[in-house]
Amino acid sequence: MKWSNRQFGEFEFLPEHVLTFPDGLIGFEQLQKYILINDEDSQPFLWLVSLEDADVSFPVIAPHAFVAKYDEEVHKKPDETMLVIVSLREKMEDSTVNLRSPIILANSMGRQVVLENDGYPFQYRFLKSASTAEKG
Amino acid sequence: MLILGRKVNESIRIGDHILLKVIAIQEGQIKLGIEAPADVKILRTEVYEQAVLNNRQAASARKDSITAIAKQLPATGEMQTLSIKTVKSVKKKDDTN
Repeated sequence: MKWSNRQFGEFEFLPEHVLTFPDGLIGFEQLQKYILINDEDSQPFLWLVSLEDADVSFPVIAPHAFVAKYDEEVHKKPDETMLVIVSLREKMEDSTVNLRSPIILANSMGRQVVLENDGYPFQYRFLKSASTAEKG
Repeated sequence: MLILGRKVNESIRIGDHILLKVIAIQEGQIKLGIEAPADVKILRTEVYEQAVLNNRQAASARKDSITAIAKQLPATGEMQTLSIKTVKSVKKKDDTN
């Protein structure tokens, strides 16, 4: 199977790569088929790429990279994979991940939930702990 | 919009499976109780809108920006092994035309 995305160009995938989101993503309810692209230059980020709209691709990352106990606190089940969506800002260090509404994947099915716990922000600046001092 | 007047402890049924009950009214705030099947998403509108806004912003993220950020992240050793199958990206053909 083939699909062409604006950023990734044409690529091939197998039926078992397809992730179905019966309710879509929030605000993207009409798009239900995605794949995860593992782009070497983007690691540890992955790309959740729509198979229905060539302009839609979400950078995602496993949340425990930033919050050690995240999986535990949101009661992730063993067969589930959690990913959070990255939002880029003009200044790189202002970029955020959305810890409040993660994506949950299991058995080729996906859904995006909104956590009750508002201790997890929609916009978590994940680079803030990294050094902001400029060299030179 | 349908508008119904309800007092404390009175309720409204929406469809066959959703019950909305006025629990308390105090100082300009209404406490609502909602009974609904687990698969019905219930969100405060402003929370829903924030989720939409975040997704919209993220959907058009550029690959080169993510590449730049990836370089800023402290090396975490090997990548987490995912139980989900991923597709390796193929270098985009040079289509500058």
